[in-house]
Order: sequence, then C-alpha cells, then structure tokens
Amino acid sequence: MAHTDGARGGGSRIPVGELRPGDHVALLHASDEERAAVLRGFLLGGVAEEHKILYLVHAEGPDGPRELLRECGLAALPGASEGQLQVLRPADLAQPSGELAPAGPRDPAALLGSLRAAAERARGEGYRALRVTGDLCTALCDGRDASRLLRYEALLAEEFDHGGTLAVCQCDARRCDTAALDAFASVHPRSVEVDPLVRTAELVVVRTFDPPGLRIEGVVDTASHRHLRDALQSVASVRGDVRLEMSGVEFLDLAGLRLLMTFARARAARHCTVELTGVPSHLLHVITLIGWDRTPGLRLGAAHAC
Amino acid sequence: MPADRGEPAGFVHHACLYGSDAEFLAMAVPFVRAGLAAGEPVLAATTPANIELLRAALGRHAHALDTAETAYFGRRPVERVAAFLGYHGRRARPGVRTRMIAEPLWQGRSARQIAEWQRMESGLNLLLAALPVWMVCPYDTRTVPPGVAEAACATHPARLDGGRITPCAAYRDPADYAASMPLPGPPPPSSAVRAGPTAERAAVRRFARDRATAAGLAGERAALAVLAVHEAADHLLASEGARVALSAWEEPGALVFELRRPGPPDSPVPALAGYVPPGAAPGAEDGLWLARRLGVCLDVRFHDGESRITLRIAGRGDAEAL
Repeated sequence: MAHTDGARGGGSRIPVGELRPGDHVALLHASDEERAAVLRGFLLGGVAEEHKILYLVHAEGPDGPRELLRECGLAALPGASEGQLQVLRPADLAQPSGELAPAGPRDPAALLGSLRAAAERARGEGYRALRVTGDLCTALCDGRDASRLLRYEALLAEEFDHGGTLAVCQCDARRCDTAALDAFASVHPRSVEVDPLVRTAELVVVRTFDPPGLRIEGVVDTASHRHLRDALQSVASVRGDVRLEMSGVEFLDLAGLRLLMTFARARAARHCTVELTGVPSHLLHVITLIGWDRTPGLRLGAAHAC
Repeated sequence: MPADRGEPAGFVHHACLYGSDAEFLAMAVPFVRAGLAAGEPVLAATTPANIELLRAALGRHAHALDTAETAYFGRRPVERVAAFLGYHGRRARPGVRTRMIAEPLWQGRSARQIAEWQRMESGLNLLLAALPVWMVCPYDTRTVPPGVAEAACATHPARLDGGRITPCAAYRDPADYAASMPLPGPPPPSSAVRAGPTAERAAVRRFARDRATAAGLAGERAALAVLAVHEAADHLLASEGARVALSAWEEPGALVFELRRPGPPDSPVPALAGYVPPGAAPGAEDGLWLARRLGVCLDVRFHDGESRITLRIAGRGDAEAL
C-alpha cells in the first residue's frame, strides 16, 4: 500500500522502519509523542542496521545519549555498540580526527564537509552507513538563518543521492510559521512517520498524532477485522478526542464499520468523541441508513468522493 | 383468546378483510379504543382516507393515536419490518403490549412486489414472534388485486372481523410459504457473465465492480453495489469451506447478481434471513440485511442442495438516484 496522499511536509510519507541510506526526509511533528515515536524507530532501526547514529543539537536538545533515550521513552538501546550513538553539536562533528576545522556551526558547505567526513569515519569504524538527525526548527524560525539552512538542505539532498548516509531533519511545527514550514517541506521530497500498526497486503493502519488517531488505508473485510480491532485498541487509552482518517479506505464492510461504531461508544463512555474524516460518501450513506449516525461519541467529518 | 386481554404475549397477527368503511371501523374502532384504554401504544398505519375515518370515529380519543401514511411507512418489505421494529422500539413500555393496524399497500404493485409483500406478511409471524405486539392487517376487498385477499388467510394465523377472531384454516408455515413463492425473475440468461466458484471476497468485489461499471453505475452507486454483493457473498462464505459461484446480467431497470453456494445441506440460508436491521450487538444476518436494503429486491432460495441469493440492484436509469 503506497503512502502517497496528503503527507505533511513532503510529497509522500515513508515509515521510519523503511528508511535506507540515501534517504533525506522531514520529520515535521506537532507533538512530543510523535517525535519520540519516530525517533525510537530511528534509533532502534539504526542499531539493527548497524548504522552509526549522530544526533545533531543546534541550540537546545538532549545533552547526551542518555538524555536522548529518555526523551524517546527508551531505557536503553539494546544491542548498540560503544559509541554507536553520539549526540553532537555541528561544530563537534570534525573533532575526533581534527582534520576538518569547521568554519562555523551554520555554514552549509562546512557542515556538509563535516558530515561527509563523519560518514567516512563511520565506515572506517565498521558501520554500514551513517544516519543523522537533528532539530532544525530553531534555525528555521530565525529568518536570517533560514535561507542558509535551506541552502544546506539543498546541498544535503545532492549529497544523499550518493547513498552512504541517511538523514531525518526534524522540525517542530508548533514553533514555525506557515512560510517557514512550506520552505522546510519544499526541500524534503518525503516525510517520515511512525511504522504502521498494521501493514498487510490489503490494509495499512498508521498511528497519527495531530490530532491523535489513526489513518486507515486499503481494505477492511473478514480477513482484517482483527487487525483493525487491535489498532483501535492501541488508541483506546488516548486522552481526549480521536480522529480516524479514512480517505484512503478502498473498502470497508459492515462488520468493519461496526467496529468503528463500537469504538465510538466506548469513547463516549469516557466523555470523548471519535471523528471520522474522509469517509467515502457511500459509507456515510450506509451509516445514516442504519441509524449509526446517532451513535454516541461519533462525529462525522466531510465526505470523500468514491 | 389471549389477544383480547391486555396481557403482553408474543406476536399476534390478524388479517381483517373489509369491504366497506363501516366494516373497517367495526374492527378498528374497538381495537384502538381498547388499546388506548389499557394504556397501550397504538399505531394506525393505513391509508390517509382510513386514518381520517378512524379519527372522526374516535373523537377526542384520536389525539392519543399514533398514525402513519402506510405507503411511506416502509417502502419495501425490508424497510417495513424496520418501521415496525422502530415504532415498537420507540413506543413500547415494559409489561405493556403494543397494538398496530398495518394495512399494506397493494394497488399498483407489480406481481413481483406483491409476492414479496405476501412473503413478508407471512414472515412477520417468525420475524416478530418474540414481540408483545398485536398487529391487525386490514385488506380492502374493494380494491386489492385478485388473489391478495385469499392469500391473507395463508399469511395470518387468524382473522379479525369486527371484534370476532376466527382461525385461518388456510394458514401456512412461513418458511414453507416463502419457499413456495415464485422466483422474482427469470433464471440467468445465457449471456450472463460468470465467475467462480471462489472463496475470495476480493474476487467477488472485483466481479461486482466490473459488472457495475459495465452497467453504467459509477461513484457512490457503484460502491454501494459492490458493498451489497460483498455482504451477500460474505453471508454465504461464512460457512466452513464455502465457495460461491457468481453470475450477473442486466434487465431493464436492474443489474442482477446471482450467488450460489453448494451446501452445506443441513444449513440452508433461511428465506427470511436478513429482514431485521442491525441491532446493538453484531448479528449473523446484518450483512444480508444491508444487501436487502441496498438492493431493489433480494431473494433467498434453497434448491437442489444449494443456497442461492438473487440480488437486483437498480440500474443506471433509476431516476431517484440520478
């Protein structure tokens, strides 16, 4: 199932578990929970793939690996080798060998050179690739540095075509204005998201965070009711209202629709609602036909053409 | 007869064959008055003319009578059953019986529709069996088509004339009655497109989508056709190891799907399956109800060891869906 439509911060989405060397993607998040969930996948995936992992701190951020793991809700990084994860300021990038003297923390060309050197070092240390992430938000929100940052991103994009490094550029959408977000999105061909809760040939269900909920794509029938029920269960304890985004639903049978209604009732019992958005118009017709539009806790958003 | 008293019991179903306004009122007025006097919810779903007559005869008591213009109180049998259940659900009170005058509309109906309504009249004896409802179905012998009044005596266990109850000697078991009704249309023509047998629901949906598209249905209407066929097939495929053979063809006004499932011989799909709308808990016949509701007509048969569902979906020329 392709993740193609309506991705925030880029033309398409890629699950964090599918990132490969050469990928350069945006993590445009609006909640700490979302950032932590993606970074968890980024770190665990890095260990599994035997990648060197660099976390670049521009202004504010974790002081070291321990702090980073805590932010991501991880007690440890099982299987990681000594020094596999490093938290650095960009200026520190060249420090271990001292070969490169960075011209400044925000100089695009210098930073790129440092990154390239770090990638070579990582390979020298026996890692299969380098994966880098960092929060670019602070720079973006400073109008003077935004253009420099974007130049840097453009250079990065070229660099990553060669395939030895992968990068996840974080941006906290709550801290940037629309113009900055658009600029950020324009230089990232894809955005990264959490790994799907469900990924079968027929059905993909992805946890979403702003607002909290699920994105349901593909086919729900007898073969996948169990998957949908489990996915709904995973957001059952979310505080507040939940949104189920359904514009990618190709087919949903009556029993599957009932699972959504049962979920809404359970939310209503906790004084919360479930909003269904992008519901195919024929399913809105069916919901109304049965009288399920009066289900407690259910809110129906705009329809989606068949 | 227990139906005379206010004690809630199971479903009581009477036909009233009347040939004049006076005969209608001779049944309806005491029926309604006794119900209202006992504090029972009372519904009159009949013609506007009969509602007017009844209100005039009831005088001030008419205020407490619930009424519905019968032509719009469930357009088709599956909707009619939902209308009855809906009324009962909203009005019924614990320990109190509900009364309904429910006059089906017969004039101007096609032979297929008449057969469907007769089958439902008979089926109500099973479908509503557990409900404390006393239902009287008036048949106007001045206007009903030939044979319809006689059939009422096969579909209702008893007649109510004025205040007198007489068992119907011609009453037939609803399942037998349903099986004896004529098929709603001719068998598949040689030009029908066929697929399967298959156990793959995705293959069923592909077939339905292709046939709907070929018949000129698009967008929401095509999606609803696919859903209806899927739910009908899903019902058949619920049996262990089941497979369905599909055929589809076009008639003037309808796209027809026939789904056949060989066996199992001991568990045919009941002819009256899928008439009760989905309730609070999941039901095994919910999907079939949806298929009935989305189609123009859905017929269930067990013949030569196979269950067969024939589903007619309104064609592209259905002006109400344009």
